Amino acid sequence: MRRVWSARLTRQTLTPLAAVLLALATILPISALLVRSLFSRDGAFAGFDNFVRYATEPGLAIAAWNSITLSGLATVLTILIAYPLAYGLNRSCMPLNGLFRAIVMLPLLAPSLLPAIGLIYLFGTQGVLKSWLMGEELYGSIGIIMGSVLYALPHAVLILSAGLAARDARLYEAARALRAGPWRQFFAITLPFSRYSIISAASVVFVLVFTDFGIPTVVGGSTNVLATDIYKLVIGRFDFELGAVVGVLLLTPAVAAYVVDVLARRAQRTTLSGKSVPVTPHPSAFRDSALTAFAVLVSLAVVGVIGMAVFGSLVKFWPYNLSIDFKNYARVFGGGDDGRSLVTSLWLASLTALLGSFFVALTGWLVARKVGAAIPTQLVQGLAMLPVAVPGLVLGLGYIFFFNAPANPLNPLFGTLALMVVCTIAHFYTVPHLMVVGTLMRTDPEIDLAARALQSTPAGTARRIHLPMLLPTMIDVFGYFFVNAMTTVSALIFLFTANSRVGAIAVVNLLEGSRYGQAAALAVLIMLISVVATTLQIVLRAFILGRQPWRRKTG
Amino acid sequence: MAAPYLRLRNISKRYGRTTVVDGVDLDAAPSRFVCVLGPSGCGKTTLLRLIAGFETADGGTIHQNGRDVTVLPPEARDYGIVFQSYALFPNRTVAANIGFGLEATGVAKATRASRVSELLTLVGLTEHAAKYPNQISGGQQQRVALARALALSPGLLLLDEPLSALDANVRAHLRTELQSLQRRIGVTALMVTHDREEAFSVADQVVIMNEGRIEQTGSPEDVYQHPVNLFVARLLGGCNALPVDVIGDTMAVAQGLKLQTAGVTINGIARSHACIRPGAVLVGQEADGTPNCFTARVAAITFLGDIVRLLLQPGDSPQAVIEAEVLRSRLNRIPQPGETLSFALPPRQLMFLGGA
Repeated sequence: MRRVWSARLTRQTLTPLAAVLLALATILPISALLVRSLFSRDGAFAGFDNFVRYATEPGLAIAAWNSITLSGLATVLTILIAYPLAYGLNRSCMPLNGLFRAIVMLPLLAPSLLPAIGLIYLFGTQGVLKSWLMGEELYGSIGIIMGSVLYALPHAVLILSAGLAARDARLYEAARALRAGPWRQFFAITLPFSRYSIISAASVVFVLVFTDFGIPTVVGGSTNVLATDIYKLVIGRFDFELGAVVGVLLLTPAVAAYVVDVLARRAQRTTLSGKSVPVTPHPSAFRDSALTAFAVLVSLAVVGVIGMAVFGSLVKFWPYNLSIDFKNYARVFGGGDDGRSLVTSLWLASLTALLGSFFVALTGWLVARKVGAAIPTQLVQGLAMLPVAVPGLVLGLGYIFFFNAPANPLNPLFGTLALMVVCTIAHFYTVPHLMVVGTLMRTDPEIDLAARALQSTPAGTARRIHLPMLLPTMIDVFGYFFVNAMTTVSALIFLFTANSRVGAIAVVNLLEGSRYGQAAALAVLIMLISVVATTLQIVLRAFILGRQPWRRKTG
Repeated sequence: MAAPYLRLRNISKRYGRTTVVDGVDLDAAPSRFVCVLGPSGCGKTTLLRLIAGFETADGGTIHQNGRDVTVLPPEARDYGIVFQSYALFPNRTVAANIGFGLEATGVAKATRASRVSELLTLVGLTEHAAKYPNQISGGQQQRVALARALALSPGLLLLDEPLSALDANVRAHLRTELQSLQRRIGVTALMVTHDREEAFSVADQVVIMNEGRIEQTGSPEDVYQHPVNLFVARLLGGCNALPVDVIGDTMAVAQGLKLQTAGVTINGIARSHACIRPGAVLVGQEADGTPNCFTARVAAITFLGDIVRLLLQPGDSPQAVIEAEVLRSRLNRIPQPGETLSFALPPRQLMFLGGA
């Protein structure tokens, strides 16, 4: 009977509890921001007065225009580069495929600031390739676009690759039987079938660029965008009301783009039947060499910019003394900071990864295996899907409004590393939650019924059956949280205090003080930690899969 | 008859506005094998899930072994279940699958091991104990599922279309095995299926369901020989059904054919059709001189191996079409389309039924 009661308790309480915790970390802070945009400083309801004030104050509204046009342009450029690259990686017999893939993914492992620092060394006032800009200035639109494209490229390549990899070879066989040549096949099959992944990639890239804080801060010069304005309004002017207005302006297109992305992915899913035969590319001299040349070019650009940042971190005194030393690295660990920001980053990343993985496993399990009643389960799923549509800056500002309110009993959390961990988990929640749900949905729901009929409690079934299935995915979830927590700036920029400043934010502060060498050194260290973490993730995953013989057909 | 082991009274289940199970009464005597047979969507799987406790009834009661289990969760009931998909745990070996329930209920390791090896012997899988589900065949997986369901020595065994995922040969073989195993253990079994052959070959008692209601209950022979209505007759096999124009005690007219009958009791039920199984129709020399003999044109012939199926159009009744199945060995030669033949509908084989 004890088992019966424990099962009942799990089914009835766990899902609502998870919904409450998720609500505290997501929808309540975001609502606090929405509410704040409608109230005046003295707490009176102001309707849209704040929005009017924002639109009429000289110099502010231009940032919205800049954000939209620059993000739009960067999105178009990113897709134009990412599509041929993804096509080459998935649909040609390109040599060194794995190497190109690894290089293109490299920016994922560094803060968005790192490519921006590389750009400064290449094209800045004292840049080695300054002449390439033909008299134009890096700081401003050019810098923002170049930095954003590099930063968003891996995301676009990933999404487009998924769309290009999953295609049906039988369509191409049918086309060849109808005497269609390679170009005809591309325009009649490949391109139309990848339109949804193009839409999906474009909406993701647009939001990434639109809401990124690091790049415009470093190379934006006097070009104001919403992401930098929100920071200046809140931290510089303490104008929380206008900050909230900019938050709403950042949130709206992000939510719209998210809806587009969801619709595109749904449409994509229906274009592929379960019986599809995967495409195996055949060699073609012209296509393969052209695409390889393109991949080399893009890889050189990525390696060049990131390598330049690494080089800059190792140079004695740019650009006057180019001899190599580790002075900048020594400064990271010496001086006033003593490497504390890096240690804080490691704490933040480890705690985020540990707690985040735990909660994601819990909510993913509750949703995928329908442990509780239908309504709280849908609530958990909805709340878990929310953060992906919310820019980090908006979430961070919402945390100020919600957790710093005197009336909130959770108020003492404000300014602590704990709240930064909560915010980072919330910020990156959706992707790992979906990874867990995806993995657990792949198994027959009747398995749980069979376990129930054998008198197993939900917790017992989770431990004996679901957890072993989930283990390899959990390694990826852990890695995802860890790397993102190491490199993120946007959500934390509003939440840190002198004692809880993480590495990526220290990079921003160093750049604001024009200490490029030290900033580069710190950013490179963050990237190295992420590279090590990702390598460990890959090794550990392979190890675990090797220890699970039941996944193999013969044994 | 002994008190029923499983007793359902007026069980109903609705999803929104659709009533899926509608006032079902069912009794299963101890150690009997009961088969619920019906077309897909008739509510038979929902009925099984109600007995298993995966769904809760909106009305009525379920008693098992005298205990009211109507609202108990699955964990608190006493049954083993085999699913159509087997639902084996992919990450556990055959032995660990069978031992799962013992482990979950905290049975000591040594007891567990001996019980598992006993069950492995019972289903003949001892040599596969260390394999994982995806390394054994479908039939073997089915046996694992069965052994796993029996591990906790339940009083009731529930089977949800357990054989339908297998190919025909394995299915026929496992059917016999399943039945003899159930007899040997003496567990009360309730199986849900849409396959009449499966139901007939294992069941002591067949329960026929349609649109959430029970149409008829009885032994396999009984329901086949004496269907209560057209639905049951058609579900259990091919059936010629001729709309009746006139009906009396000893004769009837159906689609223009004057028929002698073996006596029909008209007890208020509308008997709208004269029915006969295709195998009961006599053809050619066998028909000549027997009652209800007519001549017909052969409209089509289908060769089915040992059996030949003829579509006959009686000369007296152009709109009627009679299907006859004849053993090939009983025919001198196979008739050709367009030929004229005599056929007979023996009075004792005629059923007068109503309903859909």
